[in-house]
Amino acid sequence: MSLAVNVAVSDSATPALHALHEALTDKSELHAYMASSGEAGTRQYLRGIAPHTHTTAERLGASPTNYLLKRAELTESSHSADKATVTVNGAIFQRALGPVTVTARRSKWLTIPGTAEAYGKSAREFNDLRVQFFGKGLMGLVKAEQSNVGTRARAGFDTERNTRRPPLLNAGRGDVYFWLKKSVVLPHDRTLLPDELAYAQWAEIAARAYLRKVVRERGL
Amino acid sequence: MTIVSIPYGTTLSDAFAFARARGILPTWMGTAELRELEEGIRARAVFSARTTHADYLQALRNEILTLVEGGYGSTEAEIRARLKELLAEVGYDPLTGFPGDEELGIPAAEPGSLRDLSSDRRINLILDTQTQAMAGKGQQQRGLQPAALDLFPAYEFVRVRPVRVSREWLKRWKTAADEIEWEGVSREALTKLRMVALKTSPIWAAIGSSALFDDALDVAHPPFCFNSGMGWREVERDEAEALGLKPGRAVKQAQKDAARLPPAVTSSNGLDDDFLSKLKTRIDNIEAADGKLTMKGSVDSAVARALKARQERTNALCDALDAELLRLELNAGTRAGALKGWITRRSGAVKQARKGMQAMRRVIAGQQDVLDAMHVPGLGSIDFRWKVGGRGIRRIHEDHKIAKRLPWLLARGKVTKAKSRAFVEWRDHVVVLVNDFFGTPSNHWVLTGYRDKKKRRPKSP
Repeated sequence: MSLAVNVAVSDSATPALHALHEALTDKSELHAYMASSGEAGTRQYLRGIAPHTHTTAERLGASPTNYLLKRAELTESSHSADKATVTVNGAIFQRALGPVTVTARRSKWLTIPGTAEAYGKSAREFNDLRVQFFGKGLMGLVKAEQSNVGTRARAGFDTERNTRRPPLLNAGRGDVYFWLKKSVVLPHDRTLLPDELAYAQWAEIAARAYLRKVVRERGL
Repeated sequence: MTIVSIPYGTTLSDAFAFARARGILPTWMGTAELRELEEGIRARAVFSARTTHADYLQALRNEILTLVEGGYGSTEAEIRARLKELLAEVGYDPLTGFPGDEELGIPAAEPGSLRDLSSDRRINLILDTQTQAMAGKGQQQRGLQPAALDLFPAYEFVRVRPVRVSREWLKRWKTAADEIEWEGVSREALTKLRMVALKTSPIWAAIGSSALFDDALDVAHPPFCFNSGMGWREVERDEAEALGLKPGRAVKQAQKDAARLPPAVTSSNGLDDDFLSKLKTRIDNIEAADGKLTMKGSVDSAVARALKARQERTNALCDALDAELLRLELNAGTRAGALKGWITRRSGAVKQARKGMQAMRRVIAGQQDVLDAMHVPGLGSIDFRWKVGGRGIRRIHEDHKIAKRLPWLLARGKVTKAKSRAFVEWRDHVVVLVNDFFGTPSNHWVLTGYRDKKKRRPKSP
């Protein structure tokens, strides 16, 4: 004699797994958590590294522009069913992906600040700068009275004796307000953005919070 | 995780969207008067105190967008240079403002001061404040979304940028917390000199309220005040609860309060009569027609109130000055006479400078002569002629780009005469005048030349 036993398995047997499966099918909300976590983490990271990116200002003895701090506040995030996105706006972040070559666009030359007074300013804000040549292709903008370009006397030509003499007002390299360059290459700097590990940690925190929320809401 | 570089001009940021959605509002009003405008108008428009030129305001708005976007040409230095060039182009002068500002009675601004629209201080303040406000608004909105609120239910108020002079933020925090009865604010955190509150706490509106703090911007998000250097750090749920906060209250109201910019025109269709009458009493001179409410009446009434307040202040100042002069005359006749003479001379110089500037603008715009353009003590009437042989205002305008400032130099400078020539000097500037116009002596002086003493004259070979 045989005994037939019917075993029926219903959905109520694995409610937690079922709920979790449902929650993870549409990942929009999970991505929303990850985006928020990534945005907060990125902003904090940028605020943390900003004080250490003032090398040029410190070298010139100038007040820093706090460019990176200002960019940090503009960090944003968004999400969708496919991904979580953290957005940082600013030309500086291109360096995180690789070296960046900067060339002059609307003018012939790039102007690189050479003094504290010029740092954080545009050459167009000064109305009394003149070109000065230093030989070997080096050129800069100096105060007008220090430039020896443009007149015979400035070039060191003694009009009375008809001879050339050392220029009276030759600007030293320390007086150069802006150096003129055709292009510069900014080196790759991966530390301008958080690394993969940091984002993974923030995503982990977000995922745990999301799972706690799912458990709380579903009464599991 | 992948880092992707997005081309400039395709920004998705909320800050960019907020900045782009705002219009412009030219105004002669100062900061104090602007506070009287309805908050909806202030939120919707880009305006700058005492800035009446719409083109400049439009340029300002565009540059703020450029700054937020962070692309090519977006450094503050480049933006500042462009704005200064535009101000020069449209004829702005710190002493007289924009062309046409004289009728509005806008006081002269000291060059280089915060009131001077072309000064670095002023432009930097506008750019910083506007972009920080856009960024703060975006943080506030995103922070109140369900996921962000669950992860980080609170903010800590922290310094994010160094400032030269810091405010007493702990004291302000306590004042604001007392004002809102500590709703959503952690007392425990304050004992450790930290400022932590739930995102939904009304303290954020209080700390940015001009009713409590004069320099506040009337916003509930960073930067809260001009040049505050303060911002938010997200606080995780565990940490918030450890500091005695109970997350999860009044979320919907906070989300509503942080909603996007209010619409510029609201339809009155469907509103009850008594609601409409309450609205009318709240907003003066509101106009409801064709089912629409327009805010013009509110703006006009704010303008009228501001004008009236200004006139009252001016009258009070004049009365006080007259009383002081009378007292001085009674007490020491000679000294009061000298003071009165100085005041008369000074106000006369400003008046003549303004007259001269108006004339100069006509000369340059129309390339014409203006006789008796202004009066200079010690010389008499001055004629502005476009061309005087090979000299004149045309030559000064082309070579030195300083023609528009010459009337001011003439009014302030020291006069020296030599036969038929006169020189007016002020600091490094020298203005040359002649009174033998084409060989014929006259009782008018003609402006013919300008020299900057700082620039050496090239020696003729």
